[in-house]
Amino acid sequence: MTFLLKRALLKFVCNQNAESALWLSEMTPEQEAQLVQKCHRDPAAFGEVFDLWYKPIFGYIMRRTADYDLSKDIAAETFLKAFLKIGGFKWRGIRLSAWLYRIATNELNMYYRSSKYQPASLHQLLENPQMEKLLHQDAGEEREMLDKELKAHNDYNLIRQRLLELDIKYQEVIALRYFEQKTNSEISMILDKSEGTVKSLLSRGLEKLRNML
Amino acid sequence: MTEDEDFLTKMGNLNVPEVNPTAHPKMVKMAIMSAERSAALGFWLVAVPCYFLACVFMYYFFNRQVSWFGAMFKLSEGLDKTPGIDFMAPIVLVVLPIVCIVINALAITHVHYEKNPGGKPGAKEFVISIKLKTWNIVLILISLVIVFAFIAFSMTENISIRS
Repeated sequence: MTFLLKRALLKFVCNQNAESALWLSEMTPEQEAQLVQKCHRDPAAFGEVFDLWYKPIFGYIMRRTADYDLSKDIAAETFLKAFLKIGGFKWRGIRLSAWLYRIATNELNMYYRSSKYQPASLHQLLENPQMEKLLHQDAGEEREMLDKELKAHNDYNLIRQRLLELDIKYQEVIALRYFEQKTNSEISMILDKSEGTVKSLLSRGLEKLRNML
Repeated sequence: MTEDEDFLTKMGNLNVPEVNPTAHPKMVKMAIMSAERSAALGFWLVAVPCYFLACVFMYYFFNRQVSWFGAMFKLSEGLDKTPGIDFMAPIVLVVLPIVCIVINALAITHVHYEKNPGGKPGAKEFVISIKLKTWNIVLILISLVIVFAFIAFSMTENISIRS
């Protein structure tokens, strides 16, 4: 009896955790559409978008750049752009999460293409001294902790460094596939490319990367 | 297993760093969520005085009345001729450009107090910095011209009436 009760309890806890994990990582398209509509009605609802996707997007940027301050700036620029543009976001098959990854990828591409990259929207926000103080506030030991975490992964570091020598079109697909564990259809949605193109970019990119290692 | 398959397996099993920021997202969120308010405020700080000054300019130099602004001028003329409240028109004409000067000056001026500047112990500094934003500076200058023109006009009119 006790055994059965324990099993039922365990099953319940597992289901609860699975549900919350699902909510945090993947919302259904309907849930995302509702959230977008909520943001259209009330800009304060963007806080929910931020809470759900800031960490994965920051993680994606950090794993590609391995630079804490730069990642902070690019992630802030990504969410600032999303916040200012979400009023014009229309449901045309693209998921909200894919849209956020797309903005972040475009910012990263701009950074890698130009040595004079400046996050334009963020720059305007930083003109306000209070905002600058807030955004550039010291986050305690967070930087050291994340730098330590990055340095602890030798294989990843080697691949990331070699990846930087490839063309950007290969960098983005490989990073999304192997650093972020995205599927080909998710990558095609993020990059606005067909799945066939993604597959061929992945295959050619991996071949080039293998030859470099 | 071929070399290709081996590499693909290695990539598939790649152990990537877990990035879990805890402190800074709260600060970024606060800044972003107040961005719209600052942007909207910035827009009105520039748009309203611009519209006002454009209307004044068109009214005085081209004698064109722009919709509600023309009606407002007619009303102020009417007020000017009504005893008891005849002081309203000059106040409106002088106060609005002065408001325009103040809000634009506040938008570009930053004042802060600094203790031990440049590492000098005991030293205190009051730092006033002015951002060179073309639009705000142009609006301040136009408003100043209007205010001075109005003051000059009132002074010369008073002198001519007395003489």
